[in-house]
Amino acid sequence: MIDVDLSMVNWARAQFALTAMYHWLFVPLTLGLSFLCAFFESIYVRTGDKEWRAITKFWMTLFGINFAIGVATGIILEFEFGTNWSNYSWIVGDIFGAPLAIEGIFAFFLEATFFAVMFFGWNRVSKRFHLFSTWMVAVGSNLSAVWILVANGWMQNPVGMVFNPETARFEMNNFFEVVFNPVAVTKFVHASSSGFLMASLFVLTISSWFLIKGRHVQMAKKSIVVASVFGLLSSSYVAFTGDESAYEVAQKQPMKLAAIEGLYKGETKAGIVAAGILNPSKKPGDDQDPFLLKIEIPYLLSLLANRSIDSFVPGIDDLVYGNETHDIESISSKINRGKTALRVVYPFTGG
Amino acid sequence: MISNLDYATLQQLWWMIVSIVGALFLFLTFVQGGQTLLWQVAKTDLEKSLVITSLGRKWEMPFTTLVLFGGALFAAFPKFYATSFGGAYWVWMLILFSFIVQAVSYEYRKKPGNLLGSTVYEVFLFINGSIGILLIGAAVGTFYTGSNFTLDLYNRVTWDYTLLGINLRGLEAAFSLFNLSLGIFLVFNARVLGALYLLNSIDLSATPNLESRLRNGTGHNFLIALPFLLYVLVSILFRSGFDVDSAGTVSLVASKYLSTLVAMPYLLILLLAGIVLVLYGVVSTFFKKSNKGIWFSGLGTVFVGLVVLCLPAFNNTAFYPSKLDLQSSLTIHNASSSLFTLTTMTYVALGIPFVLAYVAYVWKLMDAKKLTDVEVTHEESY
Repeated sequence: MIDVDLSMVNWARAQFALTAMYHWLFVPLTLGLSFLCAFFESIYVRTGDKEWRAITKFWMTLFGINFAIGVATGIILEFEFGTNWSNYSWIVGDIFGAPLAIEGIFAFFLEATFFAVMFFGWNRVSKRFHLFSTWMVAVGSNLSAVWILVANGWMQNPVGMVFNPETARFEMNNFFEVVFNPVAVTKFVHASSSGFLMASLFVLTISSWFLIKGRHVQMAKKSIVVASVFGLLSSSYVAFTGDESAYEVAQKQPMKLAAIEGLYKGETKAGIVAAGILNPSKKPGDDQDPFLLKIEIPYLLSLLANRSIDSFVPGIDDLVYGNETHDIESISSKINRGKTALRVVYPFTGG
Repeated sequence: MISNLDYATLQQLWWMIVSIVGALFLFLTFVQGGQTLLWQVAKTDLEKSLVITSLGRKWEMPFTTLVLFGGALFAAFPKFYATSFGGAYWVWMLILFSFIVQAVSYEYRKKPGNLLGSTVYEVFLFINGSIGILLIGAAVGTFYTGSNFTLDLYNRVTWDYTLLGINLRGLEAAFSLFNLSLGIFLVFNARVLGALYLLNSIDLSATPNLESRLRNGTGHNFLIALPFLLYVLVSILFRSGFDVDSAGTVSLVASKYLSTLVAMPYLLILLLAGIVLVLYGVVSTFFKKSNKGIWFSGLGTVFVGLVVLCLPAFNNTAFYPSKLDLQSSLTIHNASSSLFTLTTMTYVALGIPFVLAYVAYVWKLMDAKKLTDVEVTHEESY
């Protein structure tokens, strides 16, 4: 009924993955660096000290370079949903397209409009309006992360939709469920806070290098003060949001958690592998040990995944072959139910 | 009130919104047009800096508008997004490539130690303004001439146009005289707009030669663009269009677009007003030495663009026709999102006037003082 050219799918995957990885090298940095520029400039406006203005301009230049790459790779990602995953775009476009359009309307224009003021408005607008513009770029950058992660969160945990057999596609029936999807919320707070941390480390690293080389010493010291505070606050927030994010993964995508942890056979009171060497010949369903060597912290995986040390964490084998004790359906059973659904839907499409 | 709008009205409304975004993009291509003028009008380093810096302060605007155009199409007409982007893969990829190189060019061209040298980045900017805009024109032209695709029961697209055994995946759009003419018109119209914008934004008192080259460029490029525009307009009026009857069956009907203009006279008025405004902008700049031509020609471009985008979709017409199977053609009715999504997105769209307002305010604020040679020499420049 449906034939799929898997070699083509792999090319599409490779291209999308390459673009996404390259995009994500730059974007987290802009999320945090935009706020750091806003902090530096706020101090300049408050104190009137010209050195803070020079500091702001220095980091803005680095922000601009990253921003350009982020924008250039971002537009490709948006259009690759159509070019590489065209049928997906049709089947879920009714839900998935909305966050992307909203991102364009509210986030991209905020960034693009105030970006020009931020770089070229020093002598064209008032000090306060320039500061406002810098903050708007920071808000716009992070707002764009909100909407793209709403879209991505929906891909991880599809909510707020129904299947329409007449159009053979999924359609949105609750916008707020899509926006406040718990996976989207946790993804955004974790992604943005890790971006803040990364940008702080970026500023700290470059400033430290300046200190070692004895160049721009005052600028480096002042940058370190601000970036250290921002980084310290962000690091604790990253840990908290990371726990929330992983909890959502455990609840909504147990296979993803099992794959991340290398957990093949589900366990009650499961421990987490803090460090280890994976067994390359391990396959789902066989009896080999997934690790050649491991250091495990007992109970911690159950605690992190389910907030209870006595809880059961399903492994890859449980999720592939099913586990009646824990009421987990096998993949073959799910595939059979999918085939039945396709047979039922087929006549609706006119086939 | 929005929740009371019926499905058909929302579909029309969203095509109008998408068309407005597309038409605004065409106005903003003054950035791309200016990029292609660089070597022609700027002969000294100072002139080059003035041109690049002036354009560079606006490069994100067409870029962002293009992204929004894509996002709005995805949200409101996902079947078009799936069919065109998935099928006409190469033409869209080339367009995107031309915009990637644009984004990096502004930021990297003058950075110390860049690997490629500034000339390479200037070539990138030229590619964006020429090939990028030409292909966008050719892609829009397919709304009138059709594309080589079929859709199966699951709306999966098959693209079927080969040359020497290679599936061109949309590049064949540039082989049609109509599509090519529309593309060439857009390229030269963008150059006209680019020259008009530069005359408006730069203080040319220190660079009189740049001013005279820009004024000449306005007239010359308009004269090149004009026959292509006339060919496109005459062809639209007399060509057969892809009519959709009440049962949803698509058929070719003679002078379909002419009958749409007659049935929807506001489109005809917009088209004529647009042409007059473009012409006035050029004439006032070329003959009367005005520097405000960009606003007239820009608004005129928006009007003409709006008509060019609305005409193939309204009055029961298939906006993305298939040349291989008429019944695979896309209409704003069969390609749109659900009633719920269009209603939700219409509430979201209430924010658009606010966005336009702050864009206009910041633009006015930033362009209140013209760009001077002192500024590009001693302050931030691209």
